[in-house]
Amino acid sequence: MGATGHPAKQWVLPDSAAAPEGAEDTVLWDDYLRRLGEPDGPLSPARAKQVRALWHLLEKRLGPPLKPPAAGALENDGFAMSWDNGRHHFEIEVTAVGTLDWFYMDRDSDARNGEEDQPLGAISPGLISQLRRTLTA
Amino acid sequence: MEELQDGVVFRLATVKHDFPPDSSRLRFWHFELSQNDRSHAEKTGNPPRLSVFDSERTTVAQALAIRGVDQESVAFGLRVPEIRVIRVASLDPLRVVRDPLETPLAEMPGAGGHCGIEGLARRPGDPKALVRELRVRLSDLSFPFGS
Repeated sequence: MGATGHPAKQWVLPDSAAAPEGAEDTVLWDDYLRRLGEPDGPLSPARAKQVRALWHLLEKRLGPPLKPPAAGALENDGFAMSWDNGRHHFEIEVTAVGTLDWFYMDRDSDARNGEEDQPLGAISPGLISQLRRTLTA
Repeated sequence: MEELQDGVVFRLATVKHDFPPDSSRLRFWHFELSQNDRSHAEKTGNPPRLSVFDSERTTVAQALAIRGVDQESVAFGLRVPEIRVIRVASLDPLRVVRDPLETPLAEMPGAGGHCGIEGLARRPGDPKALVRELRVRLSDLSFPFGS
């Protein structure tokens, strides 16, 4: 069930591996996360807190050090992260309504994977598995 | 509406809240239609278009002035022929069309180069994943663009 009360949309296409991008310094990333919800930051304090909690959950599930992603705040108080590694692309979007979408694609094949409208506090095994494969491909 | 077949367009991206702040390319979220893009479409009755500028008619400095943004925005280029050949499943091919601005912006230097990329708005029934793939394909084509 999605956080919106509707069944969570899920689609799984042919399987594949994945890999990352953005080997940025963890200290800079932690500082970036901390500043997201400050008065001159791009996110509301509540959303910034959710994003930090999501990151900590990802670290916990994947095991630190988790490679910092490329990331950006969206106009609607959403937040986006991506890891690119050659042919592999993995992204997470925290939507304006506070749910989570994730998406994987292999640029060189038809392999796609992802889920939509997931609750932020419950990262799916599919996300963890695909992100791990992305980071280690 | 005139469709561009060739050349380079550039997009101004706000990167001050991005990580890392010095990316050499656009990211998928930079292809999200902005509220301005959607308002412009509603006013003109045209399909929603992602705002870009024809590099043959507009300089980066002129685009920054038109958009009223400061140097925290960075220009990234996209080659029109490469945009035109992207194919993602059942989605329509992207089009780059001239997109006249309204006054008073239309009277500013370089305004004649304003264009829009059509095909990025998700239509009813379009799987979100296809639009996500389209954005990734597009971001892969981007490159740092000077003046």
